[in-house]
Amino acid sequence: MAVLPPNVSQQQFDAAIERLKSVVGDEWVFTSDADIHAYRDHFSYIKDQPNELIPCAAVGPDSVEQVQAIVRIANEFKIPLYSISTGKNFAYGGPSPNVRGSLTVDLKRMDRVLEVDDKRNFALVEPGVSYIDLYNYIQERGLKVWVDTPDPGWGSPIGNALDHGIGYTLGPYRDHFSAHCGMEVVLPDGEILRTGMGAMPTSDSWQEYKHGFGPDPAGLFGQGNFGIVTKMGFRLMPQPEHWRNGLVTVPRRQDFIAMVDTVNYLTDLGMIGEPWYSGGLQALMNNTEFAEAANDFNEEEMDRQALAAGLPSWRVELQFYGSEGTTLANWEYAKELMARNIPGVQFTDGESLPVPLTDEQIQKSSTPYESAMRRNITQGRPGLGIWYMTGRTDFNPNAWNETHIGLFSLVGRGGEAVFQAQRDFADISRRLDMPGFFPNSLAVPVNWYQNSFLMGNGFGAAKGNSPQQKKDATRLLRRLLEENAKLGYGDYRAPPILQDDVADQYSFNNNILRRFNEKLKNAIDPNGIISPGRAGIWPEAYADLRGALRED
Amino acid sequence: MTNRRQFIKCGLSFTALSLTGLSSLNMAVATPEGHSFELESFVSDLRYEESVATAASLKAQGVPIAEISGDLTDLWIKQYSRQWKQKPMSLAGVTGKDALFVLETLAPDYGMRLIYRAEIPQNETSSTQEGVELISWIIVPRQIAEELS
Repeated sequence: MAVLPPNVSQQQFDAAIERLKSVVGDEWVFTSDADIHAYRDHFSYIKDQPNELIPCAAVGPDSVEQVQAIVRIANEFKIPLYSISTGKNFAYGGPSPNVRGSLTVDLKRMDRVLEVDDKRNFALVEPGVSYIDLYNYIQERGLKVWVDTPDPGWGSPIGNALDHGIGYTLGPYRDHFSAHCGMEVVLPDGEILRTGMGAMPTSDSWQEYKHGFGPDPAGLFGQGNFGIVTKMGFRLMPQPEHWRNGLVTVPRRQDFIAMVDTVNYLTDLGMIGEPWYSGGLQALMNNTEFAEAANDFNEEEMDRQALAAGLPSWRVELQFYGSEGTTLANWEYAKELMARNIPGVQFTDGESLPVPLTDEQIQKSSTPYESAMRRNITQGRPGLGIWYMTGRTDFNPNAWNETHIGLFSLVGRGGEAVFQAQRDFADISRRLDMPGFFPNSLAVPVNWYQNSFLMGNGFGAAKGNSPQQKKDATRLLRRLLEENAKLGYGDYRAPPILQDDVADQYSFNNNILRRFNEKLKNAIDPNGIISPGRAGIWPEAYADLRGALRED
Repeated sequence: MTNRRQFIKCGLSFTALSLTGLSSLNMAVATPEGHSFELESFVSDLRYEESVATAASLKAQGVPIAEISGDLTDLWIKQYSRQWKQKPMSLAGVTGKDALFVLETLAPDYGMRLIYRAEIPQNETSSTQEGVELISWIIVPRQIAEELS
């Protein structure tokens, strides 16, 4: 299994390992197969294949100074680095690098919560801090702030934000990269950069004003390969006094348009947390006649059958945070607006509870949430339950088929745009004969990012675990990305084996965005040592590897 | 002193234990290097009768039992994430593959490794979770794992 970095001899590699040991200590340089096992993407479609993206070794620094020293050694030996924080990121490549034989810089030992302020509502953390660590830190000290957590919550705020991850509370906090405020980065030459007010050594506002003065390079470090982030600040949501939720259901298919418009209005006024859309007619898919209508987008027939079955066409669940009085007023206002815009709309009061919820309230398994999973994440409580859910047959017919990839495309944040995407995804899926995933007229968007919709269209395309099945699935996903892009649907995130393909689709003006990034990359990182290939950004030193994974 | 072969045999006994309700397994295990470790926690997955039965017999031997129902959130946040930060632990379990996946993934971050796993055929009366296999497993500190390898 042992691999060497590209164009590095065994002798050079051995010398580099000795130098790394002198920096971090012998016990924090990992070279054995058993250790490397932890740095593999166990969901990869190329796992156990000759081109699997495994590292040559891993090194675990404990300080910024050690990260600087590692970067300098990498430059000297021309060894590509791939930095990870907690390294989970399953479905998007896990801890695996873009270049086989990279040296993984595992930042888990840098696990200090440097500051949490529950009056000014921010945190400053190192990369090895997980959402669960930060949550525990806050709870142990009785601080009155929430962590907006992804699900599962075992990853790190820095890693998740840098990969443009998301959460489930109020809009400004759900977009984790946008919610960051100030970062510290070790640049490819080993220098330390601080963004925003961190650039002014005497400032007390690093976690409060992210722009600083002049161009802000922070965006380069999100899904980028311009440095290793060693500290990052985040805006935190103050713990509300009260939480309430409510369910809105509408009778007809076309009502979805007014429903989305109304939810957008409430969202952008800051009155609701994450809206959770769902179809109301899934139960009818066992009825052949209805399934045919749904697959054919026969709206009249779908409405007729929904009415006959007494089922709503669409549902959306709304979250309210504030005081008991303001959450009630906002819920009443939401009902008033919906009733004004949608004839026949119905409402179900959800729960109305003081915050923090008790364990019993979180674990309650009655509607609207039938598991603790949703309750946890709407309350800023990190969970691990999604693995329990993912493994269940209802959610994944190939339960624990350990080959899945997350593909979510951006779709316009409107009802008509969603209807169009449903048709497009269904059509593409049919043409490509996508296994295990059948987009149809019941597909709904997720509103993880406040200002955009994402729709899943390729989660787990492999029919099985054999190398050929995985290879076939990868080809299929590449075709899916191409077909989606022709119709304007771009993905927001991808595992390394598909990053070149996604980057190809952002092709305005002959891919000027990628060419611009690569010009910067070559200027800032002349040896190309920081995560070459990430997000399709290939430095000259490794340019021959662009698209190499497609050759199979 | 238990050697590697005996250790693995111990693991096999452990599997048998889950099936038959045997209660004679000595969970204090010695390594070839002379180190010994005790089972510090057993994860009982309440979805499976086999796991509950195994937990009962180990509890009688003084092994601390941690209960889950598939979802590890509470166990992790309230107990393991804090304990593992202090020092690596030796633990075992009879759980669904979903729960093991989470622990197996987290273990290396805290200097621990999975050293034993075996799928357990579920009997007809078991409270089976369709699609989620039942596994018996052992996770130990990296140092012990290396001594055993």
